[in-house]
Amino acid sequence: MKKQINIKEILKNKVSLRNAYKFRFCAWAAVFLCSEILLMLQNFGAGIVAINIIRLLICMIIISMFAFSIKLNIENSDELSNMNTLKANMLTAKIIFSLLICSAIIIYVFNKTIFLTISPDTLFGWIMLIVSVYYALQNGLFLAIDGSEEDEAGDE
Amino acid sequence: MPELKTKLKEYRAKLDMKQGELADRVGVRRETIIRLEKGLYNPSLKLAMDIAAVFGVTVEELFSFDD
Repeated sequence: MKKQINIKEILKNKVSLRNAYKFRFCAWAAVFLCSEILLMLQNFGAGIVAINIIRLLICMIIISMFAFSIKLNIENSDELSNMNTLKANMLTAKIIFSLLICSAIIIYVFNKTIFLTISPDTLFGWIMLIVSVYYALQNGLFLAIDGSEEDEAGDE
Repeated sequence: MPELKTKLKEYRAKLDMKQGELADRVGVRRETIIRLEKGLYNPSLKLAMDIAAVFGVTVEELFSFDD
């Protein structure tokens, strides 16, 4: 006999912080991929329908992330997770800052105005690309710093 | 740097308490208790005192530094 899924029970149960971070990481990685596809489609002059579908997909992923944070009962963070979040934030900022400096140097050295032109049409894609890289990196680093899969094994 | 040693696992075993139960009682995640038991994390004074209170012992009995 099939076991009935009770949505109320699922919403009542606490979601572990690591799982919440995993979900956020996957969602931001998906936004990153969609932004890449969006920029490529715009670059190759794809139809407006395809471009709008990707834009809508990005918006839906972001909205689902907010809905997930609001609706689900995510486990409270503690002193260790706060410390790890801080570490992940600092490391992300360092990496993004280094990447920006490297990009600026490459553009300067090769004397190219810009590799890919930023126009008002592609601005949404570029913003989402940078934002998604930042958050995907931040969530990924948190997961890497916070612990291993071994820690998630059964309770001793 | 001296290493933090803890008798957390022993005391937990005495009370037949799971990591998750202890974590709930002191208001932290299970991962934090795992890290503490492995000696990979130095707890705050508040957390150390909260854990000691659960077992009814002093902080010194529960945590010590390896010389």
